[in-house]
Amino acid sequence: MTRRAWILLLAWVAGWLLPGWLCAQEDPGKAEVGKVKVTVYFATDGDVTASGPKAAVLATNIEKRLRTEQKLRFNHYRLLGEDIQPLFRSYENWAQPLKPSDEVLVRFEARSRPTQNATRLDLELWLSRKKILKTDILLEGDRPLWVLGPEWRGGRLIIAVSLAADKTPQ
Amino acid sequence: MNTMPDDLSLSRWLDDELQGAELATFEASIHDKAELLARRQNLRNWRATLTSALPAVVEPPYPEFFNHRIEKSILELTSKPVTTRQRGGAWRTWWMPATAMAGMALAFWAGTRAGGVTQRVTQTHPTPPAMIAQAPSVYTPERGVDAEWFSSPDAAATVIVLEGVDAIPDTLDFSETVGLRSSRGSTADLDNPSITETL
Repeated sequence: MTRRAWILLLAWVAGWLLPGWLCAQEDPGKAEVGKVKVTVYFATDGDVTASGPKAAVLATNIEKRLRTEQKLRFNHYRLLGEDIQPLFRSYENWAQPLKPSDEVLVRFEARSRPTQNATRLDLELWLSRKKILKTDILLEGDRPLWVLGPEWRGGRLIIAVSLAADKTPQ
Repeated sequence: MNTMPDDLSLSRWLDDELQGAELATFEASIHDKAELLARRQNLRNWRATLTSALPAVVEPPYPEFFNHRIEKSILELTSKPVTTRQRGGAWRTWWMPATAMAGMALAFWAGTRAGGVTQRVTQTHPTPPAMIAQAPSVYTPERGVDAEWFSSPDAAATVIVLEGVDAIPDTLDFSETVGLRSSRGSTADLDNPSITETL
């Protein structure tokens, strides 16, 4: 058998073995360790209909809770959009709560191994394709992060980041 | 009409080489902007890291010696007579391929074992260490933007108040957005005005 034939044979065998080897190497960094929910509210003391006819009224408990914080106290609130995305063990992920618009984007990444009720995240808020805020935040089960954001149509956008309730961190 | 960006434009966009109308046309054609923005930011970070780590200009060490070696190698190549390839013995015929096969099999076996080790290490720490609550660090890269952080005990929330952020133009309409529940993979409208959900 010639040398060329041996090379071809080895390449053929490697072609059979390589996929199996790759399958055996599962990337643990892609494991989902939780879910992050990003919600955008419209808050205004003026005309709430400016948010559009499809903007949804908030649940009473959420509205009441927002009003308990003086800096987030407005006369009216509406829900503009939300996005729930998986939190990976060692990869970043993005939430785009106002799809298809990319006006508001949130990038997040696990900073340490999540516990049962808490997750520390590296978090970035992007507005109009610009990174506006970078923080490391400890999210606990029922303790969200609220960011009083930019003005829009006589009100302000509030970006809420929290752990999604339907997936407990491992 | 094919609206997908071609690889060349994508590569140039990632390298920040597109400008003006070309840039606008490309950005209008891409769909998954979040992922692409992340890729571009990663590349920018890499470039910044490399730029800061490497000197701009490096003189080759001993250039005369280097050129002399190249000239000598070229002379050797051009003056060397053509030799006939000698046939290998039993080593080339049988043992080299067999050794290569054994090496591949060993690599495959080692790969499967490596996965098992990772799993075992994970299982030996079923209880992750408790996180220590501490004040978050808050950074605003944009000039003129300030962020005030505080914990709101009444609302049981962490609050960051941004000031100095450019207002979103009133012409920007989110009416298409509010009908989306993207996480559920559907475009069902939020018909029920009274949503009962948690934060």
